[in-house]
Amino acid sequence: MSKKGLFFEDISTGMELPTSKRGPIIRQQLIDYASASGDYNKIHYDEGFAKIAKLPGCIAHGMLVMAIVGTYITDWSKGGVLKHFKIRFAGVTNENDTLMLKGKVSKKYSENGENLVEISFLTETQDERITTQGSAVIALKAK
Amino acid sequence: MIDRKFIGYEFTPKEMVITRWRISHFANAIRDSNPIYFDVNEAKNQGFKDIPVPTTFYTRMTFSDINFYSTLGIDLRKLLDGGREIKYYSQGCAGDTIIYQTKVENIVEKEGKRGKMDLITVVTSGKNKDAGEKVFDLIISLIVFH
Repeated sequence: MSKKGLFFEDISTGMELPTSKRGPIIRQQLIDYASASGDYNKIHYDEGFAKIAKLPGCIAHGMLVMAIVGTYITDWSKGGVLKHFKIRFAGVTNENDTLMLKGKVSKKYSENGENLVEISFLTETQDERITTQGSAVIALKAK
Repeated sequence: MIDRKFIGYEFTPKEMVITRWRISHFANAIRDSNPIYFDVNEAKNQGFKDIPVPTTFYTRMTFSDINFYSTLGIDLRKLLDGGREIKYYSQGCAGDTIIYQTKVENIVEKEGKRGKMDLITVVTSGKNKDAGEKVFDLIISLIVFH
């Protein structure tokens, strides 16, 4: 097993994950995600349609935002195994929004022979609107 | 109001073959440049049997029936996505065939700021076709206003 990566011993409850900036989420990415995910709801890439749906413009797929958070967590936990990932949508992420991803270790524990850390996270837009909140449990290796 | 006869209703299972192309296409769309999603040698170096799936790849398998909403009689104009939850049991990789099936776990009525609503909990479970082992549970919370 690799000596690099994140170890259970390096983590303490209350520890903050480095804040990460992702985006802006441009139209091309919304089109790419529609294709990769199979979610072709036009509110994500057709502005005229989004307006008919009473939205100010195109909005990002909730699942795309979850995927971006997933990348943030796997990048941070380097080699950790994700066990549980939960997200709640608090507001829409609009086209061209840039997201700030913030996380914190909310729990550290061992269960069934696994060393687990729970992260609570949120995503916030450039104008400080929280668009999602959630948590993730990751199994880490021990030294 | 959603008919309570759907509590416990199971849709027909479906299969999906996970391919390297599908994974790299997905990783590109979420702008994740981690080489494990593009380079099989790098994936193997990091202990995977093949290219692994990114964390939310299974959302591609949200419903095992494309007629999910119409079967339940859900008016999409009254629908709000309350959130998602994924439980992971084993690592899916390119080359795996996943059998997944959607079940309506529960429907309860709630009252909120916007009036009465039905809260529908839907669980889609995925297992590996060859090994038979459980791979994931995808839990979806849907809010349908009356």
